[in-house]
Amino acid sequence: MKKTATGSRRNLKPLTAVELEMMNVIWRIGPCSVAQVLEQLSAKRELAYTSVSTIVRILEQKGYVASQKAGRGHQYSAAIAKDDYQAMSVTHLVNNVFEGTPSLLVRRLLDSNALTEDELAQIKSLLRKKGGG
Amino acid sequence: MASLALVNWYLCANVLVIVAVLLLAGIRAVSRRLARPIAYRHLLPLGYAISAAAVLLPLFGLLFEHERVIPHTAQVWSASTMHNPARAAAGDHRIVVSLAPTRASISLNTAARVAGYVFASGVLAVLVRIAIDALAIVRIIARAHRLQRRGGLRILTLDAVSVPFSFWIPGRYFIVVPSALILRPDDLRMAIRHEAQHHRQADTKILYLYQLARGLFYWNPAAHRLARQILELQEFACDEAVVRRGQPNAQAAYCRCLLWVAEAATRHRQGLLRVGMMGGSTSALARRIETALERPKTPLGKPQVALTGAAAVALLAGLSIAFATPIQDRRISMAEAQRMAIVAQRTSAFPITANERVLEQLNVLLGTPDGRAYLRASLARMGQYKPLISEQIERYGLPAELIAVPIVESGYRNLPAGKNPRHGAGLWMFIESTARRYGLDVTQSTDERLNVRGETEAAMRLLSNLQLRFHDWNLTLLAYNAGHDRVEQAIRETGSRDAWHLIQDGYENDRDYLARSMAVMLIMKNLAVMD
Repeated sequence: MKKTATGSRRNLKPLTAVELEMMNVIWRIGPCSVAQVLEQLSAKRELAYTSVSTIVRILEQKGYVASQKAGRGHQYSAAIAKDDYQAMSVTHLVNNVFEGTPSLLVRRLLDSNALTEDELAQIKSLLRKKGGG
Repeated sequence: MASLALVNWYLCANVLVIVAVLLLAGIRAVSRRLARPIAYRHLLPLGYAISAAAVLLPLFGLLFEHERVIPHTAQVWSASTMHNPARAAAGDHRIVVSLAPTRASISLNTAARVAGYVFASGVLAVLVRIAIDALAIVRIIARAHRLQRRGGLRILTLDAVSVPFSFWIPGRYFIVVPSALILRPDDLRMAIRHEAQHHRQADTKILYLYQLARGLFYWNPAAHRLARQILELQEFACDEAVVRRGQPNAQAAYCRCLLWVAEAATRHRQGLLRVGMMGGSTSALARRIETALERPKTPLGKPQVALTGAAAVALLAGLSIAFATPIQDRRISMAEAQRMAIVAQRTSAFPITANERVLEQLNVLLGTPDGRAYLRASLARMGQYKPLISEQIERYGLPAELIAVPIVESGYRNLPAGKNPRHGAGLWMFIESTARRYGLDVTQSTDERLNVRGETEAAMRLLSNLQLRFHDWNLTLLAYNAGHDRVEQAIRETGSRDAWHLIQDGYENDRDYLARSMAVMLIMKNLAVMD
């Protein structure tokens, strides 16, 4: 199961901004219909039903979403966990922006984000675990 | 020679393509100012007809090779000079390009090779560009996501494109829209309608023909301009069809869509094998929007449009005849020589033949610039002697064709004797010994070889005697040049009475004398070849 997930992960195409917006909804509310996605989007977006339906179907073609027949319509669920997508995105970022050197990413993160004491302690413990584990 | 016909077609088509661009632009400009303009759905086929006529009519123009109005700008000769026949035989054909007042002569082989390389590299460059675009299309198909599928039509979407476009590969129709359009369902619908109309009009197929033509005429800016004009007309025709078929308020929605696409197009380059929504150029955008928003005028009737098209094609047809053969081939082919021989034999009892040796001499005389000049001058000089010589030939009952002999001998110049007694003098080039034998007085003070009547009578008697001896005009002519002793010896030694066979075995005095005589006789029986 895990193997297929990592196997397909390599071939996943990056998401566009709108697609990511839809995925965030699906990750948040779980299996849902197109109408439910539309409901969850901010009222200001003013997206047409057909647009959302088209984008969800493209997400399905890209492998991010799986569909099931439910009554007259379809039920869509995430085919890839948000954690996995985050990991993928970081890998992508490290490989393409930080010349394959994760430490560069961490340094940039520490430089540009004002971290709280708590967050710093958390990161330290994570690193300790990785190093000792 | 077939390849030269191809080159002539190509050159003529290049000229016609320039005219076609001007014609089409002119028709469009006039149409815009008419109260009843030509509808784009009619203007587009008109553009196709004009393009096809420009490229194809020169093929028919080749049939009218001789009825030309414009002088030839280039001529192909068998050699640069008649005095170097060996090089002509070796295939050192020359092409002379004359753009008044300059003339340039280059070896035909070199010219053909250079032109071939230049042409091939240009076509190759265009082919490479097309291949790159074809690869890009393959990549798009692989990466795009499917929006819809209806029969042979696939509607795809891709993040990486910013302008909707369509293309056709045999058996499959594609429409690709930028994924950003998905968020604008109205624009998406319009864009798909527009692109579907391209498929309906067969634009995506015709595109291949125009790209082929651009490759073929790559160095001619007019060909690229014509292709761009056609692309633009296709867009206008699509706009017209979509607006005409849509709801009354479709115009505004359509224009909004056009604007959105135009904005995206400023950041995008169009491929060669695709019909993009901004085909032609973005500069036409304002006019397209204007046209789409205009209250539809009653378009010009079909008969008038057809008449316009017929007039344009007729003009191109006339030009294709006028420009039919920019390069004139002055070389004589065996088939032509044979045709000349048939004409000659029809009016002659003389055994005029056209074999390889005669063909070579025809090319020396007709296929070189100075050969032609020599012939022309000789024939002009012949004029003053003709009455006398013709009368003598008739008196002696000899074939009229013998009037050609002095052309070969002296070019009809009554030449005084040189220092070498083995060289002759006069029109008929009697050498001293023969002249005396035939009663011409040759002393320190007088040379009767220069008395035209006297020398002609002597020549008649000599020719009559030789003919009585050999009963064969070929042998007689050979003996006139080489002497009867030498010819009799040749017949004895070879056992043949075929003059051409004797020449083959080396029994001749002046090289190619008989062949040259035959060539001159052929030309005199076909004076049209001198034009």
